[in-house]
Amino acid sequence: MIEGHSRAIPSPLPEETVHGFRSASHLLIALRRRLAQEHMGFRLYAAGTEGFLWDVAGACEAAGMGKAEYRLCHSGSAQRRIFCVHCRTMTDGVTTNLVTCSGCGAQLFVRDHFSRRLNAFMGFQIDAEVPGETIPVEELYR
Amino acid sequence: MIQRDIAYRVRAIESLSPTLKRIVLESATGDPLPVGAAGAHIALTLKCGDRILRNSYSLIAPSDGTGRYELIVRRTDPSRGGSHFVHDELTVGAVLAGYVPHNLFPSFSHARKHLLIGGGVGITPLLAHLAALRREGARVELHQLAAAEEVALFTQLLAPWAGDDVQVHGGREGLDLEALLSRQPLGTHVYVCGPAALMDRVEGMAVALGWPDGRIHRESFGASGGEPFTVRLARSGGEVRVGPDESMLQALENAGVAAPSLCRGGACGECLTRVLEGEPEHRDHYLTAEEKASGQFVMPCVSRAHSDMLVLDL
Ligand code: FES
Repeated sequence: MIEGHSRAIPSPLPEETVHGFRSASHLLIALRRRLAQEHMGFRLYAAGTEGFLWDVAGACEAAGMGKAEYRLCHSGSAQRRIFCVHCRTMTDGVTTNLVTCSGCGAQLFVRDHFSRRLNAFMGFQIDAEVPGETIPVEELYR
Repeated sequence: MIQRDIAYRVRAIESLSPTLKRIVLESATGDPLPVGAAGAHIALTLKCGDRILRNSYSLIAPSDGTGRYELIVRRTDPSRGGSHFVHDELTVGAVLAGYVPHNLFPSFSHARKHLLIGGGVGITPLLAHLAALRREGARVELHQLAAAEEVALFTQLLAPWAGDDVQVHGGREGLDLEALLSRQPLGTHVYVCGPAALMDRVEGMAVALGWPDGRIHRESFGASGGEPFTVRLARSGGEVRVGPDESMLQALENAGVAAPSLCRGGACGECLTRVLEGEPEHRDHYLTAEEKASGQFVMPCVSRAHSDMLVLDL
């Protein structure tokens, strides 16, 4: 369970089987370590945002698990992680159809093309073909 | 089309025990033999008296460019026919007709670990897997179940790969299957070859412990005996009696019926035959559960009948 990015120390939760983590990346590090110890017959269920789910799936596959051994359920925000096809930088938490790349600064159009390998949606420069030609910004992925 | 038939010459015969013989085959024509990867088997045509039998045997070593195939044949009692011929009549230099290798029991290269479980002479394809996997540096563990008097023999066969992760267990209760299957790391594949009861036990236990289907692999030759019954041939007319110690396929072949087959172990689907009447007893791993329940098809290489009569579209 992720408890928010601001908290530095995992909170003590009532049951020992529930662990708090200060961030998704903190959880993923612990998850990878845990999976290396697990045995056949283990099942994993994850709920969360798209980016988090595919990070978890990646950890499962890396540990040798197959699709029958983990289940993913989307919940929460539909915000997207965007991969800039020009500079390869990831921009997280995108809710709009256009976003400024956090790497090269290009105005990226957010495509529906999702890469499992990169765990991100593709973004490409909106006016790559006709400089200056753009579209209105809309909030689509809340 | 790929040529499937090959003439083999017996290059060597070695007696391993009163009931086990190691046979080395080479090409009778001098043409190079195709690669036989670990897990592959070949079918041999054996003439036993007036009967013609086709038996499948696993290669016990991967044959890549060695120009020979090695098998181990157990003399069974009562024999399904072929094993007495191999033990009593086959001589060095004899030429046998057979098929090129087919592999219905391959290993999966993306597995994190390979767990091999053999019972008795079921060790044969696992010997090939062990050799290949060790050569690749893959993580592998082997457990062989053997009758008490054969522990020494199997230990000797496994001697080139001796280690903590290669073990021979005497007697049926010698191995704690539940503990073994419970301690396997994620990404393990299990391969089992041996008597049907052992394979069922491993498969049942693994499924009960939550192993997904695609991680459990079984080889099956020769579980062919059972209650006798009669097959009626709807197209060609005539009836064929299937005895308790022969498979439906063997009985059909002996009666001169041209029935297709390949693996002869209920895995490949080649022998699929339509059932017009009667209730099949399914023992194959080819048909889906729904197809089996429909009672419309049967795999004569391994399956039998619950009813006294089976009417086939042959
Ligand atoms: S011959 Fe392969 S399933 Fe019967």
